[in-house]
Amino acid sequence: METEKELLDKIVDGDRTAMRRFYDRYAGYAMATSRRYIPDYDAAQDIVQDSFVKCFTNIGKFKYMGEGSLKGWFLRIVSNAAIDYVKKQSGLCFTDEFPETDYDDVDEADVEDVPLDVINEFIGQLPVGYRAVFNLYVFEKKSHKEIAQQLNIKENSSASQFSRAKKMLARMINDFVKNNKQ
Amino acid sequence: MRQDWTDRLRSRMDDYQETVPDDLWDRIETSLPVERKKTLWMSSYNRWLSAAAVLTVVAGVGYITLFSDKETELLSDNGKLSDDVSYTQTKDVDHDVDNRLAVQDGNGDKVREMSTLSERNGESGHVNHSENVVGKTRGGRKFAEDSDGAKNALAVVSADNSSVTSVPEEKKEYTHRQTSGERTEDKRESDVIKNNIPTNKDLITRERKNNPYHEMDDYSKEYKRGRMRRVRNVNVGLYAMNGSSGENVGNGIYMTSDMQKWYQGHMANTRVTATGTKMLDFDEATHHSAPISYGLSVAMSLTDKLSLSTGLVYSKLKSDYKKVIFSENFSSEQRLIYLGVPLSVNYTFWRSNNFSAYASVGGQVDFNVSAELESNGTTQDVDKDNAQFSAKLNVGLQYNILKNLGFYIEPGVRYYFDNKSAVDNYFKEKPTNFSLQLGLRYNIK
Repeated sequence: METEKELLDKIVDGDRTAMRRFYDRYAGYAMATSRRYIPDYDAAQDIVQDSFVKCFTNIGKFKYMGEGSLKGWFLRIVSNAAIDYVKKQSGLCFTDEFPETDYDDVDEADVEDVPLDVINEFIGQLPVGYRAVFNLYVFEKKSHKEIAQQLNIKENSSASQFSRAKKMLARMINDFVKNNKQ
Repeated sequence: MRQDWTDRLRSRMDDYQETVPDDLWDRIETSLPVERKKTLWMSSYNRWLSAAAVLTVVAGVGYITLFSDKETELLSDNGKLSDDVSYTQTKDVDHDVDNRLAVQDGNGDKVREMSTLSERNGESGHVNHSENVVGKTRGGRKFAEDSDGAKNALAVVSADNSSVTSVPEEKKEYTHRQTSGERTEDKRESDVIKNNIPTNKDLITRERKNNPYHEMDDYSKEYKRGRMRRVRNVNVGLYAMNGSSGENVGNGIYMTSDMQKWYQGHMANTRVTATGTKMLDFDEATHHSAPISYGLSVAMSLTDKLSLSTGLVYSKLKSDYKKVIFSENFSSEQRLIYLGVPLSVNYTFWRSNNFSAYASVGGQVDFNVSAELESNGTTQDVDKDNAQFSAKLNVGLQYNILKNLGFYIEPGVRYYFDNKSAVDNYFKEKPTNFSLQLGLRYNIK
């Protein structure tokens, strides 16, 4: 299998077949990322499509920094596109209406016991604000400061949204595990 | 609480993929800009084309520069010289002068004898060296003078060897010269000669103003009694300037017809260095080193491919002058430092990774900030050149070390507009020449 660098060079040259191979390699990841932000399948697809086009058009700006850096750059494009969409669509509303539950902070969630597609769906079911912050923090590994900038919120809002998202997701996961243990 | 289940979550999800619809690629492909297709077949083709273009330009200019005929042609309507005029050095025991230059023709007969820079004090009212320097006093022409300072010229050859001029025969009959007396005659003759020689400075190409050895070019003559041969008449030659290059040798020697012929014959057989001239026993070679310029440049993008570039360019021009006079070597080195401001439009025709290749057209103005001449171990400041304008056509290769900062190398062709100064350098020699510039460029988008 060709390396990312080889693929990259050909794409830079405008090699269409190389672009196709790139697509085949990473479309699935792109879709998974996109659906984490936008559970709606059709909208998620559009995001993926736009992201590929954006990627190929701007390939000249990409600086290769080792195997995997191309994938990372591309998936970042996807997440940014998704966030932009969400911002436009729903106006991210950061809600505090979910009551603070009284249970102990759920420190643990049995992630290993839940199928990946279910997890992905759970994430998509989080309220939009929680979802955005959670994804950016966990999957895009952004700091709260960066998230605050991207979403135009305050840094401590980001932190609190994240902690609430975590709790909610953990609960969903744990409920699932509980329900499926039998 | 980063080290927790969310991290495990992320790792688990790392390889998670979801399916995409089958037609997604088609939809993507149609959205891609059409140029991509063109770029596909153009890009490698383009690359070779640009590389070939760069090589051709560089090779072509280099060829022109290196292999073009530097010799200037002599105008041929100046009469004939006898064959094999040779020169020997003798000592004159009758007079207390050394280092005679004896001009002999092929038969061994002495045509003329001239002495070099002899210092003869006293009775002839001899003037000191500097005043004997004809080059200075007569605006660039060299004359063979007699020793007592009366400027009797024997022959003048234009600086670019394009012609020689002699005095009409009746005036050239020097039988003998005595150290005293006969001044009036000399004076008259010198006046005649002065009048015969066109003084129009334009006729003679530039004198090398900063050459400290002008005084060496001149040597006063001593004529042995009875050893003179009557010289035949020579046509008064035309002074014509060679249009192609600025030959820079400022020594003209007044020659008899015999001498002229010899000279022409000699010239034809002599390999002339970049700007060298050989005449009599007097060797002179000038070599101007091709300069490399170093630049700091700032480029502003106008469009995706076009940019406007300016900056500061440093050029150091070195010229070596070597003269051999009676087998003594004299050499000097002229160093000129120019700071220039270029302005050019760059068109980028190829880009890949951090490299880009471009074609550039523009101009530059150079200011001579330092001019010095080193001779015999001493360095002196000499007159600076005037502002020098040039037009240029380059190709360049740039390697970006940062997004906006890159190294560039630009070979190309330059045409230097004559700035009417007496300072002599590489650009005066060859107004159209090959140039090479290296530098750093900062790109503003």
